Amino acid sequence: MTAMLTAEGLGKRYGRRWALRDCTVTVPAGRVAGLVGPNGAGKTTLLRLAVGLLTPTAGSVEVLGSQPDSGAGQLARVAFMAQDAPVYSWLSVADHLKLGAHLNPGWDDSMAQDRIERVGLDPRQRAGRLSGGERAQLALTLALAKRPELLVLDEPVASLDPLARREFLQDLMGIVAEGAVSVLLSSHLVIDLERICDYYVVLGGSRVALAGEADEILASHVMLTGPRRDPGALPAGQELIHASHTDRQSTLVVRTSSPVLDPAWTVSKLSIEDVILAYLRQGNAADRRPALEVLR
Amino acid sequence: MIWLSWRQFRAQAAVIGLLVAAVAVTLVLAHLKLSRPAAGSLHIESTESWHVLQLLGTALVAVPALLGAFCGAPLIARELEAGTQQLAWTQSVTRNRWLAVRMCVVGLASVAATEIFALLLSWAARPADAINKNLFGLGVFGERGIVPAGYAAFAFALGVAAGVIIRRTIPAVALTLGVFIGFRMLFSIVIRPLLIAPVRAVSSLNARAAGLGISNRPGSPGLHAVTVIPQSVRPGDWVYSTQLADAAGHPISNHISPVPAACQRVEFQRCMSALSRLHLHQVVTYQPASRFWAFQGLETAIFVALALALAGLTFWLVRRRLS
Repeated sequence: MTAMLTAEGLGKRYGRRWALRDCTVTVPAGRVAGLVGPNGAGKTTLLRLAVGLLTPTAGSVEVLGSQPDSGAGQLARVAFMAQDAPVYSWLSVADHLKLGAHLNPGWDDSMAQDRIERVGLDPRQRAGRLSGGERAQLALTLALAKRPELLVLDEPVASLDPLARREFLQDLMGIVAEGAVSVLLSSHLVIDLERICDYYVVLGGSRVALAGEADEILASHVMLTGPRRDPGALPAGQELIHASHTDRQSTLVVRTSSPVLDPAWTVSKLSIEDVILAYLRQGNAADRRPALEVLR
Repeated sequence: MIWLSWRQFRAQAAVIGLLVAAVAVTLVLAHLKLSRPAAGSLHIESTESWHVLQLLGTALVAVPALLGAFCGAPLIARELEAGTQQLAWTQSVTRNRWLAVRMCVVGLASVAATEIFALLLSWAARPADAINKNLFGLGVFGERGIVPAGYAAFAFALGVAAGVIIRRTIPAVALTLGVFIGFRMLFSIVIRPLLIAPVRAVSSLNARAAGLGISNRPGSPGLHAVTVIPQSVRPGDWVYSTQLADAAGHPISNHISPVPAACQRVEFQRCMSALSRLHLHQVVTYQPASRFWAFQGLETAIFVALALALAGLTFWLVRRRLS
């Protein structure tokens, strides 16, 4: 099966600043992949490269086995919903559906009409008068009715209020459950993604910090709590991701494939968010702080 | 794609269509009045219809600039401002095709509207032009024939390119207006006279008595040559310069000195024969009126070529710099 996304040393530079650098990652198809990272980590750049809005400065990227800017055929296979769901403010909802029908050979009009009705959008309403949540729903409808193989969503819920956010994500879960479409979506909040993603790519400091199946990530990371000690002395097979210390106690996030046997440690499970935050802190620590720091 | 281009252009197209219709009605009325024998006499410049033609001629100069600024500049700048290019460029239509269709629909409409206006004005002004014989005039040449279509194509392509380069509508509108008006003026005054080498007509000055005047002004007594238009130069020709030349053909100033002795006294005939022994010539450089369409064709071709170059630049920018 071809991968949803394959990047090899992918980089994008604006002037002197690298928005994304040395990005090498493979995301299998058929997943709901979450792209996580702090603001400015290069999430939007990676997604725009994937849908062909940008061309790489360095390296290469393939989506569903083809170059993203290889023509109309590739454009038809991938749908994109940009950040803040831009739509033509002076066109009505119905006009947007017409636009979709005119510009996409695989357009599913009955699905689009049904969806507009189900989410409660008035077809005569101008898009400029829609609320943020309604606009996101319109943009998602445009993306889905194109019948893509891959749906790429850039911060789809960032500008929505908590209620609209929940509704949007539930709706998206329903679509994913129907199957047949891979999804790649970004967020700077892991909590948004936790319930729908089964694959994660973590960007930190414009590089890939972690990529893998949600289950594997959960199974291979533990938190160790115990008397303060130097985290350099971990046994083979245990890789330190992040350590924090108080005067008496050390708390470590460790990647390991085997059980932790040292009785001095209290071993506890981590949530996806904890693991991802540990990786993002690691990135920060490598950049700015000394490896061992006492937190008082 | 054509549907989307039309849908985005519909409101502007309606306004342009209404204006063209209003102009057409006005011009037909003006033409009818001018064609009446009574009005087509010597006093054509004082008729009301003539003022209407002048006013619409001035408006026609502004039309390409306005279309370039308000149809061309926002074409892509508005998408970039609202971020909607991210929606448009991720539908199943390549960016090149999207741009080609959008530019063709709006660009051709702009050129067509301008040219309809220009042809109507040329037709309506024909009775007046036949009397004025001034088709090469600075305020006339650009308001007749086919050059307005060239101006419209250039202004539109300039507007689109400015929008893509600046990425914001209002500054792009301002830049389009400034550059177009500046270039149009530069072209009319500096470049147009260079398009075709002028005809050089030499006539000997002694052949006719006219054209010389005796000046007894204190400080500069002597003879002044007054502009003499040789027989070959006809009304409607575009005269660049008239120049007095000596027997060897070298240009000399229009002030003849030393003054032949016969001309110191007021004896015209003897003065003339003294002058004819100097073998003076008058050199006139000019463009015959018959070259009007050659100039129209050349200038239109240059503006269309510039428009195509700007369109090429736009395609390159949209393909490369915006990705």
